[in-house]
Amino acid sequence: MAVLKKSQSNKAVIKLKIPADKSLISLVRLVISAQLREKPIEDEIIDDIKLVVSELLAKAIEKSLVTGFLSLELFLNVKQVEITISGLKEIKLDNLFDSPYLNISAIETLVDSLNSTNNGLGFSIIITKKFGEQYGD
Amino acid sequence: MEIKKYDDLPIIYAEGEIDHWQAPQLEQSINEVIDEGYHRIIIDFDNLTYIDSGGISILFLGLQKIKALKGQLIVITNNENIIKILNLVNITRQSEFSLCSSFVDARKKYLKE
Repeated sequence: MAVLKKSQSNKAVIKLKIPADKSLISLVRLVISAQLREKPIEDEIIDDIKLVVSELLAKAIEKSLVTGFLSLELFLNVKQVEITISGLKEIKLDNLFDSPYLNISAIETLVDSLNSTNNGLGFSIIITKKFGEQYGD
Repeated sequence: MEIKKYDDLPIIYAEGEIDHWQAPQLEQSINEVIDEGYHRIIIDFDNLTYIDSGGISILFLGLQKIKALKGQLIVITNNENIIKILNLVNITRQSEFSLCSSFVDARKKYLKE
């Protein structure tokens, strides 16, 4: 698992790359937790993000959607966390989040937006979640 | 995951996280308790910090088996995040499911049914 972190004013970036291995998803949660807990972000916000990211990664691996390595980039700006996950084959989000218990409707209540994009560089899913406190680097 | 008997009540203790990778351990524990002849199960989630659809699907599977035995699944937790997820997936609306905040309440529930 490779991690690269760099900071710029008012923006922090973590880049993670993991192979398609469910046992590593807990480490992704740990890294997300560690990064977000450095900032004044509510625990509930962090928990929601961890759940959505974990579900996405687990489902992508289950459905053999991973092309090589899963790549995760975390961006923080003043009031929003944005996570982009790439390294996936294209899929409709309601087909990805197809658990009868945590389906797309349930997942969408936990984040502010959940979108996919395919810009020629590959398919990505972008999760955004706002938080209430301002912070500064 | 540990199974202990307290006052002859079987309690499954789950700590840390139950995700898609760790869910089989919960399934094994639930099956073990049912195989021992119990149709009412207490699961202590008070030290659980995370659960996702991996763990939730095991809870629902367990609930199906318990329903067939006319039993009860009782979960103990005070963790707001865990409670939020259990409510989100509507397991708390199942009549065979109970959410309790302590072992004392869970025991009362267990013995009442």
